[in-house]
Amino acid sequence: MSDPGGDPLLQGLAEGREEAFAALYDRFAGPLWRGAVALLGSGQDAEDAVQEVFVGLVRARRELSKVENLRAYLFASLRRAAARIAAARKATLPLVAGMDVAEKDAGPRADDADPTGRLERALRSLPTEQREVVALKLDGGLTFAEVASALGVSANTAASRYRYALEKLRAAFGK
Amino acid sequence: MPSKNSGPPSGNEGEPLPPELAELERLLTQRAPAGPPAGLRPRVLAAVRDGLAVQRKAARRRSPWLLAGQLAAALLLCLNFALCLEARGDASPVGVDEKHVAAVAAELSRLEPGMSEGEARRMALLVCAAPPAPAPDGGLPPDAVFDALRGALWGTH
Repeated sequence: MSDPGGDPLLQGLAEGREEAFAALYDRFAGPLWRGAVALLGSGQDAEDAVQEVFVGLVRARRELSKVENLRAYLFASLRRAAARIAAARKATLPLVAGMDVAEKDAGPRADDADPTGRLERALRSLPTEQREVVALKLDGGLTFAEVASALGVSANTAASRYRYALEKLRAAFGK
Repeated sequence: MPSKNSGPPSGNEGEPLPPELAELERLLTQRAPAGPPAGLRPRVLAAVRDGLAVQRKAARRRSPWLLAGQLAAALLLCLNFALCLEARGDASPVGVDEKHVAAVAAELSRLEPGMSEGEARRMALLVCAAPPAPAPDGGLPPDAVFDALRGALWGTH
């Protein structure tokens, strides 16, 4: 994928053709959106993150010839956008912060009996680096090699973080 | 907290996960939201369109200055080239003995009276710049060879 002339989509993006961006959206918006929701825990923030990815792509479109893996590149951009949005909102885990207040105020949560709700809470309690891997792997549908490329770590590290995240989730979910 | 030495890491691309982790992975996959809201596509594409329009506007603003800069650079190159040519003119190259060049030019003019003064000077410069030719006969000094040649050509001997 290093030669944009070989990929009509990359060539269209590099030339700034709107239909190429539309095709890219249709191909990647779903995984990007799910990954953003998993990273940010908010649908509204996820929308902002996905939009930021595409706007950033417009700005960097002439650099796309250097992109080795477009999917990994998009998710690396998504991760940076999510970090910026989270920083702007003054909270890396807004829902976790919200849950803390709710737990103090209201005692047991209403979704404690709901496995999906418990799983979601357990997921948001993971360390950021493990939550990122789960978000990119399961919600974004990336391979470990792509996760590694997006995060700037080795594939073994990505796989380790994923395994540790699952074990931690199982421990939390089993409580 | 699992130990870092608790075995090789794995997921669905490496070694198969243990059944309880595989089940958890399945639950995690199922819990993912279906897709982005319908309103996100037009919103994102409008932002893309705006970004591209800004880039095109900036490119249009930049292009007259770019053209002017390129013209100025071309003019400077031409001017520099012309000045170089003018400066070179008939000036002697560095390290050439001007008296020797004049003497050779005079000799050439004498031998070939039809040769213009400028042509004689250019030929003299070439003669002076060329490396000395090896002596045709190692036993004779160059002057002796020249005298012998002159005698053979013009019969001065």
